[in-house]
Amino acid sequence: MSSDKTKENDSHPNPFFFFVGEKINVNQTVLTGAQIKDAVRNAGKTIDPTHSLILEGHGDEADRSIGDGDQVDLTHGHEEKGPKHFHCRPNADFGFQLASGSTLEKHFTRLIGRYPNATIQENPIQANQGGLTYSVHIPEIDLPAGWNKSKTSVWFIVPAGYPSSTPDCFWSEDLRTIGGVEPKNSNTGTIHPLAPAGSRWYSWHVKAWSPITGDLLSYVSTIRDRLGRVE
Amino acid sequence: MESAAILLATPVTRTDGFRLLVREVHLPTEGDYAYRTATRVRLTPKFAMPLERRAKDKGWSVIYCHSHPSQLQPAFSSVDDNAEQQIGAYLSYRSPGVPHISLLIGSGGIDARVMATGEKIRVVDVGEEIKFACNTGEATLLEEQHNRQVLAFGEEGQQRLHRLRVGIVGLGGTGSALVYQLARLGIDSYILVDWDVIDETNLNRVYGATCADVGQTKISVAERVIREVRPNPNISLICADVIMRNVGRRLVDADIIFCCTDSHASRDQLNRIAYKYMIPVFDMGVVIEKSDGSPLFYGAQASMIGSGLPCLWCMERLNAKRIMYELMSPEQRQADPYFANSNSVKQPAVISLTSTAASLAVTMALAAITGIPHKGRYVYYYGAGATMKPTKVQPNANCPFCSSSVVGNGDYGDPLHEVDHES
Repeated sequence: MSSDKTKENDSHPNPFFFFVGEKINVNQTVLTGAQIKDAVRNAGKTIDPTHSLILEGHGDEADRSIGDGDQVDLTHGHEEKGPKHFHCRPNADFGFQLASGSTLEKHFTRLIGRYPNATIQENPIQANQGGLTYSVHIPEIDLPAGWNKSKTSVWFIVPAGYPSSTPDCFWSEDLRTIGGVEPKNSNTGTIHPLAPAGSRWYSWHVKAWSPITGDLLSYVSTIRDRLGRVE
Repeated sequence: MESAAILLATPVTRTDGFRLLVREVHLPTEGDYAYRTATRVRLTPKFAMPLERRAKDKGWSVIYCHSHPSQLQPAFSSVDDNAEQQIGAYLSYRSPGVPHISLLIGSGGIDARVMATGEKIRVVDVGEEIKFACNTGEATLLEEQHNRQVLAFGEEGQQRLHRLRVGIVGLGGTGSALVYQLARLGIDSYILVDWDVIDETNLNRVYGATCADVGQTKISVAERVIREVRPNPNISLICADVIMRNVGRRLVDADIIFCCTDSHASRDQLNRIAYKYMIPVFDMGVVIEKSDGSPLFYGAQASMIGSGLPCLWCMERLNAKRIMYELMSPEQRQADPYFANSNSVKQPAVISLTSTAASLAVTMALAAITGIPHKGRYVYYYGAGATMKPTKVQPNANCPFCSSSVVGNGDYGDPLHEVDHES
């Protein structure tokens, strides 16, 4: 193995380390994390590229994550307390994800292309008696003149079975016309599971939803169509 | 010269093992062969390794194909045995937990087996026709009672029918007529799905149901009808709606499915299964419409959906608003001010029409399985006009349910409906 980061005294006889308990011989006493991984791979082991290389601490020493550019001295004389032991640690990536490869995932990706601040989350369990539903929130949608606000947040529900089942209705902030009139076919008594209390629900429906042509973006267009009518 | 190819398939678990859904076919160019003669073939690592890696990354099965052009009904050779022992072990190490297959193609037939175990597997070409390219070698004795139909579609056709595992969803008017016919055709293996019980208004059209059956489940009546003519049937009974949790997925054990329900959510469920799991579905229905001042409109239809065919959405036969309501819980429906207006009322139902729909579907299935001629896979019977017409619909390339990007995606992608109530 060759490297320009080799320790001056590179003549330690038979340098080696252990990877998951297995001895791996190398020909340099100082290696970078990337070189250690290469040596492990050359020994026929598999290392997931997303995993971190960990140097196990001796005794009370803490384990240490070794980056690809970090150097490790493999010398293991009396002061170094013995040979170095490494393993790899997977990243614990927990978090919410829409069903992988689902139409909803594709449609939401399309939506945030147009509305980067849009979010989606599962509704509380009491809203999911008929199957898993989600809420989409768009923090700011521009409003035409005539409303008492220039922008509003919008919420709508992605129904169970989407895209076979159609999204229906939506909520905004408590909008009024400049004259203080409540929008037609709306109320603040129909509760959205996640929107703040007092949000305004609109009885607004897609005439003929088709999962072939409809998506979240087209549904937001219908919402904008409603909000474009100051009535 | 022998030829080779590599297929990649989505493995889907069934109660008896796996169903492998071929997603990708990779044909080598001449330069991808390390050598190729009349009796030997080897693909280069450069061709094979990226595909093996792709299978590993996706959790897919690898199917190594090669041909024996000199054999009519091909048989695996000792060279094949040796190669499979080595490549099978290698693939099991690279992509553990899923079966990897060796597929052999002769000039007049196909054979296939699991590399690690040698277990024979059945190869089915699913499309407008369902071609059983390979069977497990099990012999089926032809029964005297089927002689007359063997005259129509041959011994091979009868054996194909006998080996089928059929899912039937909905055992009312059309479903019970279907069971009556399938049992007499010699089909022995069934998955029967229905949550409902017989009531008095069903007695005008449910085959096998008597006054004594009121209150009994429809699936139990169907089971009895089958056992009356088949001595040792294999019947799985599922007393639940197909949209309910863990129910739809159980139909992956079926070779074909008959859709005899009238709820849009359940038909949408079977539409998804037809493409995700590549299981042909025969959908059928009856329409009887009576409106003031107009003569009675009545008819029946049957269609086949599945790989290569347009889905129910492309045929504009599903309603998104009804699906939304049907997936709601009873409490949610009650709370919805619009549901009261869309709530379905009891529809007219007449035994001659439900039987016509069932007969259309069974005949279409016979055509798909045995190869008897049958124009198209969507037939409509107009009662008043006394006409029956094949109907042609083109699949929509952007359809999220039947476009090529989702066919065979198995458990990946859009999930099946899973609710805790009936539709």
